[in-house]
Amino acid sequence: MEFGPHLMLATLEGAITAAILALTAVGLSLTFGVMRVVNVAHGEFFMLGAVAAWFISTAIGGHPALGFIAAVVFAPLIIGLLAASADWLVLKRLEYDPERTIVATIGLLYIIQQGALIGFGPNAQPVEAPFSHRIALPWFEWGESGFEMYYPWGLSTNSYKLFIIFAACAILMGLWVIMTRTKIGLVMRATQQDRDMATAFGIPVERVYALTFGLGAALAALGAVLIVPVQQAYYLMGHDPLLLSFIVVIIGGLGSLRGTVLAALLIGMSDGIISVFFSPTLAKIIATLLVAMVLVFRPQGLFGKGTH
Amino acid sequence: MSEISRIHLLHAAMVAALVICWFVLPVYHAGNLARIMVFAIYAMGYNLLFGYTGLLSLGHALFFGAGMYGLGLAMHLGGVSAGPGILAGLIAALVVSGIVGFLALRTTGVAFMIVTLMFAQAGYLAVLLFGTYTRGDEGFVLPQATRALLGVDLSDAQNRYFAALLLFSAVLFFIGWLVRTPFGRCLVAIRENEERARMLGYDITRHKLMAVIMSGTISGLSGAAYCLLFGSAQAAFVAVPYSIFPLLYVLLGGMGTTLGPFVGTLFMFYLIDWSGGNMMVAGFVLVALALFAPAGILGEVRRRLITWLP
Amino acid sequence: MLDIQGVSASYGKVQVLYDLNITAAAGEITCVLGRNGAGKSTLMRVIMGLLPTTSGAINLNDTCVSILPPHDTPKHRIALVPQGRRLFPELTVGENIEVGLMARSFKGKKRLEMREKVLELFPRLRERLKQQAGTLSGGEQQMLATARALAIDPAVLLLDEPGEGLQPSVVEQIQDVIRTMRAQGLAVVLVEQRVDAILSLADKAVFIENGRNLETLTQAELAADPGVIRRNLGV
Repeated sequence: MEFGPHLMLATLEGAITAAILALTAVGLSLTFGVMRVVNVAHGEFFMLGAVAAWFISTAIGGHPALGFIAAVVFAPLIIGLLAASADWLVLKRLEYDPERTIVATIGLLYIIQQGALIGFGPNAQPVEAPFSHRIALPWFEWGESGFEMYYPWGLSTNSYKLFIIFAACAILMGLWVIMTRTKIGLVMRATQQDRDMATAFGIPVERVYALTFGLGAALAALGAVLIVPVQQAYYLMGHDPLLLSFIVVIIGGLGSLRGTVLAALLIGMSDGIISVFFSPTLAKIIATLLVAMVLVFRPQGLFGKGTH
Repeated sequence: MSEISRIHLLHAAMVAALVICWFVLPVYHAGNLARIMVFAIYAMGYNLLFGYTGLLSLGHALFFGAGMYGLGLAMHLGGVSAGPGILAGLIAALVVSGIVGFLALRTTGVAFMIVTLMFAQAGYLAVLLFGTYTRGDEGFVLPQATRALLGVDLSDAQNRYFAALLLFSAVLFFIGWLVRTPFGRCLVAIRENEERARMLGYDITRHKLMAVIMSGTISGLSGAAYCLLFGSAQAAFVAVPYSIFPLLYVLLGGMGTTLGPFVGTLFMFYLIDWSGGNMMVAGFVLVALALFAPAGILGEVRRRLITWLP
Repeated sequence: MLDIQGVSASYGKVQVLYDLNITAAAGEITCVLGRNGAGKSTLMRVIMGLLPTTSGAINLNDTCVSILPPHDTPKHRIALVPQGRRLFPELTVGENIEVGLMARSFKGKKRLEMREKVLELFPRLRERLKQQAGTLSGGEQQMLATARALAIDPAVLLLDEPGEGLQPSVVEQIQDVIRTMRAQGLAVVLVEQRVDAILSLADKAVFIENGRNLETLTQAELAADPGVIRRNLGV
């Protein structure tokens, strides 16, 4: 395949990576930005989403679309509730002390991961997509009779993959509406910006934290439900999303949801594109060092406002 | 008895106990102890930066790996013997920690965590990228014949144990001494209140950089020791979990205590061993520890019982 | 009436308030005065419930408010205009006021009423409803912080150095609002360091030093010997 079509394919793959990364990272941005806790187990909530999707669709059977819809509704709900209880029972009692929280969330990581290993097994399990149609993508070339459109061999994508991108955009927009136009969104933003004054004006901050923590986990789980038909469910799949989400949140700037989404776009797209053309390992090295350098010279991230 | 003497006596007693352990414990446990002591050196290195200076790094596996591959590659590819190999490992760790320190110390707090994590990740990926030399995830093995220092065969269980003990004791006494010097006390001051230390006229940047370099070099010593004593080098040792382990060992055992890292390493090792590799038990223990014993095992002991514990 | 009885408080192991006694009556401005570090702002935090008392009690009329969870404070109509304003910097002017309105769960007509009332007092804010609070000028921020507190329709209004760093015209405006609130029957507790503000506003002056009561003077006593302020503040 020539460069042009190849790039288009890479861009598409990058967009999918960016879409799911955005969901997962925004989930982390909420907890990290609002509560200032480093949740090492965030990747495990992602993994649980995929595992739950597998369980639900296996249990429901029939047409994969049924299982998919059930998974999209119930997996984030269940995992969100699980996370909220973990916050209420453990993290709250630690008073969100940074070091104790790291230890506790590492413990949580081991518990969840081992639980998945026991309950789900060590093998990767596929989940069927609710729908899947091959879509050939056109490419343009300057031919003898002017601008021509043709369909290069091998340049195709899948309707479900395109759906992922749209779904992620829709979810993020829905989240934006909630954060900026609803009461609960206002409460969360006020709590993030000044915890003490939020308390002084009647906001039960600890309850907001539990909600935020649950919401963050639910978003990660939702991202996993969307990607699992493409990727397969595996009990160790939380590792990479955790790392990438942290990078995205820090680069985007703590406390800036918009920054997180933009950073996810940047990092997801470049990771996807570079990986297609160059050795993935080299691409990752460059990306990793770039992240480090951005932080060294601009610690508040690309869009952050400095510490508060 | 003066405070210093009590501390030295405690450390000496610890070393003596470990000597006795070799002769008293069954082979399996004694063998474990050798491994534990090597990783305890890693944890002690980490403790210097985290427990005493208050800087939380998520990328110490890079330093461990620098020592490991510094020695490993020098011996495996360069054909040098153990002595120069150790030197190579130490120099590699020193250089790497110097570079990382110089760059990463421009950040603080969470950014520092991520920057160190990123450098370590880059290091891990580099090990994979240069797989032709490092054999990547699979790693390479140092032949038994080469693992001898000053005529002592280090692949022999007893020699290995006492070599590990020697290194462990050296590092333990070094740290015990260091934290009582003005330099060491300044590190603690930085941890407690950096601004105040700065206003008192201390050169914070230089102290922190020294702390990173010392911490990194000790961690590298552990990596080199592991490669020499146990004969293998693998990319996995530079991956993220190996950056998390020393943090865990130090928090568990008691941050800012000299013996805490050893206690934490010992505890974690046997926790995993007894639960048959079932990390869920370890997970619950960690949560319980965070909830009820936040200062770590020896930290709580120091808080409640033995206040002079170093 | 706000009644602070024998209240002590600590930050961890360090005690900062020792057995304080202060009463603030409705329809009066009670000034709390003291040097920097005397414990004035800590006292504000304790009244708001942001710092727990280690002994003593704070009563509002018949209710003991010091044992309540801190986020219930607005329900008992106690509002704070904190030192340094402490607005929600990325929320708009309108949203900051909204947080105040939400604190009492005002709905429908009552909510619109309170919102109008607050915007009437500070017409400048009405022009800037969609502007982010962090981008306002110092004076506008002080107005917004006051508006936010008044939005809960308080019975007790706490103000911590409201004139700090502001130009005289804005300070005048804030002082007028404070007097209006007194006239409306609120118990106003005002932490101040500026002598002229104290003399023009205080009905009662409570001096504290190192977290302890020093002396309490009425407005008449202050007027008779204004120098007492400087002496007690060590200025």
